[in-house]
Amino acid sequence: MSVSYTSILWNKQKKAYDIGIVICVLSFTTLFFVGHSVLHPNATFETILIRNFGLLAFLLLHLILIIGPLARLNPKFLIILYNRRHLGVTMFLMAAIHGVFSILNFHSLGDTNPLKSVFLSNLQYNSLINFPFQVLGFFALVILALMATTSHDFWLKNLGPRVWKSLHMMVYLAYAMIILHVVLGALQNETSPILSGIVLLGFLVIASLHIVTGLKEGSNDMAIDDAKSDFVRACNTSEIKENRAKIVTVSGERVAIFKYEGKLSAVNNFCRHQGGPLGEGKIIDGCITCPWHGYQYRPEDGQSPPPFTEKVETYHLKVEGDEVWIDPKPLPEGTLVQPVTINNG
Amino acid sequence: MTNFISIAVDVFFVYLLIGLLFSAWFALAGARKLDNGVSGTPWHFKLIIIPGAVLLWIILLLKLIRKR
Amino acid sequence: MDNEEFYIGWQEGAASGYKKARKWFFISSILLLVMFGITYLLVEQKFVESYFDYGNLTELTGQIVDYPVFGVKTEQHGEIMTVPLVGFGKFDALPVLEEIRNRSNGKRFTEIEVTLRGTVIYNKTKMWMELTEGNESIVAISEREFSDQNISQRGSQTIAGEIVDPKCFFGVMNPAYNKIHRSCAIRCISGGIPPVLAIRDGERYSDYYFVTDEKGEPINEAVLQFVGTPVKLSGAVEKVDDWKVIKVSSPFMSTIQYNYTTEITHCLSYK
Repeated sequence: MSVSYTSILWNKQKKAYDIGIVICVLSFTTLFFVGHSVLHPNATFETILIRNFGLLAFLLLHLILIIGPLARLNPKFLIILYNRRHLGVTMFLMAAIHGVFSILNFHSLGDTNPLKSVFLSNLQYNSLINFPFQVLGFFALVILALMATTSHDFWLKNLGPRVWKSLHMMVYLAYAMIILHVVLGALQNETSPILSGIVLLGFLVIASLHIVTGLKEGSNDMAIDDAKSDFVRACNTSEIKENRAKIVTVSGERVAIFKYEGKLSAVNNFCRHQGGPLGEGKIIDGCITCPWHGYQYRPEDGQSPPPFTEKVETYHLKVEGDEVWIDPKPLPEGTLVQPVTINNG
Repeated sequence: MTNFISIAVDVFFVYLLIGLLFSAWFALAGARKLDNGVSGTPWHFKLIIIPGAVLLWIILLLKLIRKR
Repeated sequence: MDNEEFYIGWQEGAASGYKKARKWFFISSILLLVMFGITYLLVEQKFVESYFDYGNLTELTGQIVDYPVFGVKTEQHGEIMTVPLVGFGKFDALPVLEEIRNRSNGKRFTEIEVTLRGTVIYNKTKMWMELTEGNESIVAISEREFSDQNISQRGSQTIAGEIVDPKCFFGVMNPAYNKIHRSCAIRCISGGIPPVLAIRDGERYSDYYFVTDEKGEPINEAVLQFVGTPVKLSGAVEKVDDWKVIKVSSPFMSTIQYNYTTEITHCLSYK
């Protein structure tokens, strides 16, 4: 909802969030360095540094990946989701320290360009166990760099929400490469089954949370697929709570039908900011407010109130008795549709 | 394969180098042409968009050309 | 009618239910991070004892040797030991050897005594030195008679171990073996640092061999693909002063997959 951009928007709750991130990073790092000086005094400083930041990035990535499903299971965690980009940028910085120091340590001051050496030192690309695991880490770091550097709303607007979202969905590809990077790298040296077990557990937690929330979301959707007919039955008015919405799927698009002040309006469910589910939002001060980042749209025309410029598609509705009917054909973004009145509120 | 990787890394460096030059211009002048919201923003906002511009300069350049 | 709390991120403060969720999330995260950190520290592989005297230059005086590798035979704690010499970064120190040759006026290495300055690298049994300053490392060359190197044959043997880059292994990095260190070791050996076969006996390393070809010449290029993985080398073993050498007939090198505590399980042949 940018008119003019700010570098980083900090308010009280964002500051509290960032303090949480800083405490996470500092407590782990302090423990790791002090722990090594006591338990492993022979470890060199660079080794501790590389391991500390590699592990921190790996652990923070797990936290980042469970936030999405967590917020779906319990909306109270939206507060964590909203500032996830700060956690993401922090995670990238940790990964970058790990990557840069590893390249400096293992590949610099040699007979080959350090970055070329990452790809050319170990050439066993056809082997699984001997695979050059650093290459996987490098590509994952590139993805994380793309995500971190485009996390500002400027990029969301100028790359377009769909491109931006697909770029940021690449976090799952990065996660897969990082898991392989760890399994084919660190776990080849660190042979304790406890560590392999933890990596497996982390993967299982993330995978199952995503599957559970995916199934839950799927069952919430009511698909009405009849694009040819003029109006299709969507739901009953009593199914929608005041100032809230019911999400239905018509012609493959998810549509949110909002009820407010004895009226009904329907808009496309996809928030133009980051694709948040508008139908899980609420009408605040007369505007549909996205649960993810608070972007707002007027229910009757799907437009963000001026000076903002975001628009979503709107739909024609009609009410017959208690039944709500929807015209599956979307109207162009920002088209004004008179809200339909519910007979007995 | 060794040669291919070697060339690919060189191309990557050249890409980043162009990105670095482009991003300096983009932060100072280009971004404003692409997005009105950039006008009047402080220097630290411009600093924040530089790393992304280094990596994605080619997309920004295409968007700028298309806009013109 | 609808009194449910609803979260709006751009507002200054958040409703108490959300604040509670944030607190819960961060406290659990910190606990998880700390628990993981402690677990990791407890199960992490032990680090071998080795040192790199970074930032301090030490002078060593003695006899220069160039077989099987460039080194200086010097007295340490009342014992004569061969300290192999490497260059700065991931390179050999052969340019310095060449410079010593040039400055020794045609004399053999058994006829001169050289003082070299560099950064020492050591573990419990072996010492190495990095000639950090290149040709500036040559402090003094004077005349002195030394005896020839003491070389004895130990017959043909097959030895299982790991080819490491000794510069990192004996102290510059820790740990400096196995998969994580592999690409670094490849870089070092590619840069001329002499490959060493390190033999592991359970938790610790017990024995070391320089790896050369049948004629005792450097074999760096040929061993690159076997670095940092378990290997089995066959060849004539020789004892040269306080070091051992295995002279490998290179096409018959083989890699084996084993884990350090268990038996050899699998053999792969090379070429």
